Amino acid sequence: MVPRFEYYPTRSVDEALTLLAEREGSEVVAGATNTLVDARARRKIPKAVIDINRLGDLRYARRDDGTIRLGARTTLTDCFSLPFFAEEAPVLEMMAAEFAGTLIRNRATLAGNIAYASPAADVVPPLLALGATIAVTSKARGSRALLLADFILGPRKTALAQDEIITELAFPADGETKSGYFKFALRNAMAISLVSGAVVLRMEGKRIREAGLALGAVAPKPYRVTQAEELLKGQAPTDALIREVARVAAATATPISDIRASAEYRREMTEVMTRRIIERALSS
Amino acid sequence: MYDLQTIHLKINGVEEEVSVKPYATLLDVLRDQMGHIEVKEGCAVGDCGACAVFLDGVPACSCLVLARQADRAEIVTAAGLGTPENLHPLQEAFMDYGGIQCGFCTPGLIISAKSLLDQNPHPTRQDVKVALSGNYCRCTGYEQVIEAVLAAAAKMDGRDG
Ligand SMILES: Cc1cc2nc3c(=O)[nH]c(=O)nc-3n(C[C@H](O)[C@H](O)[C@H](O)COP(=O)(O)OP(=O)(O)OC[C@H]3O[C@@H](n4cnc5c(N)ncnc54)[C@H](O)[C@@H]3O)c2cc1C
Repeated sequence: MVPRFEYYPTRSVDEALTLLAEREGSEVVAGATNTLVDARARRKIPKAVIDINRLGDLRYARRDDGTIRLGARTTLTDCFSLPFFAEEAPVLEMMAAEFAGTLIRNRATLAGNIAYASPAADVVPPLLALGATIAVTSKARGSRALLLADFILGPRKTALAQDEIITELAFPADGETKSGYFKFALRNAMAISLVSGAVVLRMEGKRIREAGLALGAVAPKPYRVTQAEELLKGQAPTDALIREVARVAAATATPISDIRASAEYRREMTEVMTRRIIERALSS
Repeated sequence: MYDLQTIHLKINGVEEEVSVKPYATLLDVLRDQMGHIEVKEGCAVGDCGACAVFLDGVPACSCLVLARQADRAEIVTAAGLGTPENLHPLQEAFMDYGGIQCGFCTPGLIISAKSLLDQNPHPTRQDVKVALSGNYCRCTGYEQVIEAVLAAAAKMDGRDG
């Protein structure tokens, strides 16, 4: 049985914000793939859910000059099936292809994954590597934008206030990019990442102008590996440099040991997989 | 606060009304209140896929949808795809190829398979495996299921599903 809570459908962002501000203990629900699982397990039971899952105006993917803008309610299936992603953000398409299975992808949203702030949130490393910012809004204080890296504070902790909702994700689309993604888990589908990673290389000919490299599931929150990014910047990488970058990246990981894998194994796989995705990205 | 409220659903082509609690899942309402017991409750947390239905054309786990989120939606369950006299090619192929053993996962598998064939009428073996990766089957070992889907695809070639 799902425990009791109230339910409010909404027809606009404004209506959702008003309800969220008025109803104590309320939270928004989008795909409900985290919310209902947690409620049923009695891990977290909202007093009321404000449903934003039918707000068409939060589901879009477009390019404004040099910026890609994604509505908060963009689903994982959107990332996988809309040609827009293959063209403008292939790293998100690669990620979505390995996320859960079709039944979950069809409902799960990008914003829900970010707001839930699991250390193993698969949506986050690719967006970090893309240098994403996140827009949030509230009835009382209007909109604000912050770096995704600053938005996620730790396991299940974000900078989101109770009366705020995420409306948009944005990242620069400039120039030619090469990207790579990996999700390493105990099975190929429907599994929690042991480690995941994403790389986005903004190129200038054979040289890397800007590098984004982010890891997930090997620290309290997904993070950008700035030391490794610095090593790649301005370079036309050799095999030796790529190996060095992977080694540096793995050295920053602080994974846990649990029933699924030991910390040593996760760190080792971080190095192997990071090397492979950089190689793959550069040869694409 | 937790009052019943009427929602409207079109299930397998039939318009229906039902009064639901705010926290009731679509799965519970379909099974317990409306008698659609072809929709199975397995894990009830999205892992197993036994409760899959089409929700406005998109397959989803009905255990992870609140009934009120589905208000005015069109729902198709595995029982809505064919009748015992006139089976859907997928239903027929599951029987012919031993894709059904205990039968519990079958309605969910049929939904995911139908969704695949709607989008990709000529799937490879790998396409079938990927499309069914959110549906667990503890009997068949999946081989017979994959054979059934490929056979249905071949049979449906050239006509509408
Ligand atoms: C079987 C299964 C497999 C899964 N596999 C994966 C996987 O492979 N990788 C992975 O990372 N995750 C996985 N998940 C977790 C989950 O599906 C994702 O985190 C998903 O992206 C959550 O999105 P949602 O729309 O369903 O969120 P919801 O459950 O609707 O909401 C989750 C949280 O986010 C908040 N929220 C949602 N939208 C907004 C918004 N616009 N503004 C502010 N807050 C918001 C809600 O208040 C809630 O606290 C899986 C879950 C299940 C059940």
